[in-house]
Amino acid sequence: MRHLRAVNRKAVRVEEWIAAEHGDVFALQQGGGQPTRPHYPMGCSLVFSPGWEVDSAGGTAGLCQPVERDLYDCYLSCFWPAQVPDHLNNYPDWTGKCASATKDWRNIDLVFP
Amino acid sequence: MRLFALLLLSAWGPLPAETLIYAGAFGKQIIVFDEAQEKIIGRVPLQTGIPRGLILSHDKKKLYVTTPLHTGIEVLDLATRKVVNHFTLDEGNRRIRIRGIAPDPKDSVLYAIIVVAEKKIDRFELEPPKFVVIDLAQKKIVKTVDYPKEEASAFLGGGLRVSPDGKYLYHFRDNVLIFDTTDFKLVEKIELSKPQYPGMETINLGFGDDPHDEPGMLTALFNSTDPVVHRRVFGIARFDLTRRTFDFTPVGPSTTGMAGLRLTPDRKTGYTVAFRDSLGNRRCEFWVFDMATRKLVKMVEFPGPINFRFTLSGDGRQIYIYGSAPAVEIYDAGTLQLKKTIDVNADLTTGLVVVPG
Repeated sequence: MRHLRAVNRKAVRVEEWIAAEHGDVFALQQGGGQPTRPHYPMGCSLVFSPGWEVDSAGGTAGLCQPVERDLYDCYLSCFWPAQVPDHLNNYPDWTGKCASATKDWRNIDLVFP
Repeated sequence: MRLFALLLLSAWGPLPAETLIYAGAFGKQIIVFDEAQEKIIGRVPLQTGIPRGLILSHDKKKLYVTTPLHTGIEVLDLATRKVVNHFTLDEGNRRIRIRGIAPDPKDSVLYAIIVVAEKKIDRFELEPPKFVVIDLAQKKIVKTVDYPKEEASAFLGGGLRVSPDGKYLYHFRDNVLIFDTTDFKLVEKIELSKPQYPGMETINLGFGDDPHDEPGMLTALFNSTDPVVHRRVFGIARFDLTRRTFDFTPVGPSTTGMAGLRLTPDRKTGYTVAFRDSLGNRRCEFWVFDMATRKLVKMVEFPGPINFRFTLSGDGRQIYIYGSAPAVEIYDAGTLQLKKTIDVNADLTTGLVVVPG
């Protein structure tokens, strides 16, 4: 519907009112509940791309810390194993030389899916 | 220095003899931590993979370790710190997933709920959940019984406990289901969703192994919702595994989340970690309970990491925060302030198991 444009002042006001209803800036006394969160599926990322990831609110506060811990926690605590080998079916020994992701991440095996 | 140590000992009373703490970690190992020395005194290599579960035996002389790669079971002898028994349960394309496991009081068999995933040429086929009895001497499953179909669900989970006499297997989930350990028939079902007390509607029990809990009892935090305004409150519940009864006391308004309850050795004080809000706005607090009156007596905020676990030391004087980094943070249980951070040089994969000396 982007081909429709407001051409008079009343239509512009209607357009602004609708935008305000769904926008992220509104008067506190206006009501209407909390602004909706970004629609990220379950947080974290759909692709393994460090630096891209966000948490379920669109921020970074909910991500693994320290960031290297993310290498293991995708599988361990989040059970979000798409990005990393899972120790079950794919490359079970990929962490064999790395007990601490934060310190020894360079020792993690390279895998080529 | 020695004089200072003696004065400290006399002020606090004698320390228990060598309380050791065990944790599973990456690198296929069990880390052994001496509580008094506050340092790692050993690392035990495992045979079957990365550990994901640690269970203390009833005689407190062994640890049962579960590894998910091929559904391995390992028995670690705590005296010699060696793996004295290990085997795997997977067979060919049949992969077993353990949903709950508990040792019997004689420490001869393990009771477990499993789901088998069979890898076909183009798909995995999941079988319905089953009870199994794992014989540690024979190193295999010796008995399999289907989980009751009317009680089964796709995501069957929850904790398993065996009664002190070994006759009953408790499955704690949305309700408490009690099975006979001889034939796995459902003996009793305690429906937690039914009102047990006036004003109470729903109770959720969440718990873990607490070395200081009374034998045969489970003490836990629970959430409850009143039937009128549906306000969630939390409280403290005690479950008697022998008599199959429980009681609870509401404490206060429910919060975003709470870790499990941990008791001091004299069971007079309880500790937990509570969370308020989430993600960037999340705040972590230590909550201290007077267990005699079952009242919340102290709350102190602390900088909790994103993912972590919490437990209490064997003497009840320290709080351990761990699981986020390759380190264990030690808080003083009296002041609730950070005292020390121990580098364990490995990312932990299980909870800490405290074995008081």
